[in-house]
Amino acid sequence: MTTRELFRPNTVQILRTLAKNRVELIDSINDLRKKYPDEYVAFHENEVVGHAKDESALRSSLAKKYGTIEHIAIQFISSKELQLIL
Amino acid sequence: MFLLKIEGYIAKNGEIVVPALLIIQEMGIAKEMTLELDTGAASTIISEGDADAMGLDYSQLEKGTPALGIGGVADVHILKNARLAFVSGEWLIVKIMDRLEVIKHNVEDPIIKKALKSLPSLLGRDVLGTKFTITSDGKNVTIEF
Repeated sequence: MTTRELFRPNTVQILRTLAKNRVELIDSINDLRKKYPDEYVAFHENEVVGHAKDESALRSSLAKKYGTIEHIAIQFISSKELQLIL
Repeated sequence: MFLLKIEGYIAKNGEIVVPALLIIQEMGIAKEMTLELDTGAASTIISEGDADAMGLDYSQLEKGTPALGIGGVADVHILKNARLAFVSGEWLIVKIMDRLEVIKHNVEDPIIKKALKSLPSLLGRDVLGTKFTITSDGKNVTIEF
């Protein structure tokens, strides 16, 4: 399989949407921590589109609902505030 | 003069998120992901969460020197001959990565383990080099290197 064959035709749009969803999730993290402590949250267009304790279950339910889910930001929301030190 | 211009987005807390497509041709993997820009990181690092999401088989990877950071020690696996494709306008710029580090944490506590898996992958200086500019308008970010 060549590199070209691994590309989806709309990869640029998927990547942009995924990154914007990720930023909006980061911006909403404090609210999400209150509402969905220690759960996986799926975020798209500034909304929670799914949440579950189990990541695989969440991905499966999203896939059934949306088909492709590559553009959706999914993250575990720890009940404890963890500081990322870079 | 800079050769490459790629795009990212900045969160309100200052985290810079860079979209990228990780391509591992030998494994037939092409995974859309985001990397967090980290000019303090010597290497670009694929997080355990992203590695799991793309179904990466650690047993197929060479084991590297453990990573030591403020957060403790983690196992490092080496991914060779991968490609990272970044967004540049309507194009994808493909960067060949001779070596990418993949992190795996050894933690017992299930909640901490999940939290560590949610740490972002990092875009480090092995991609940026030593000559780069980062421009932000408070929402969109342009990285030239």
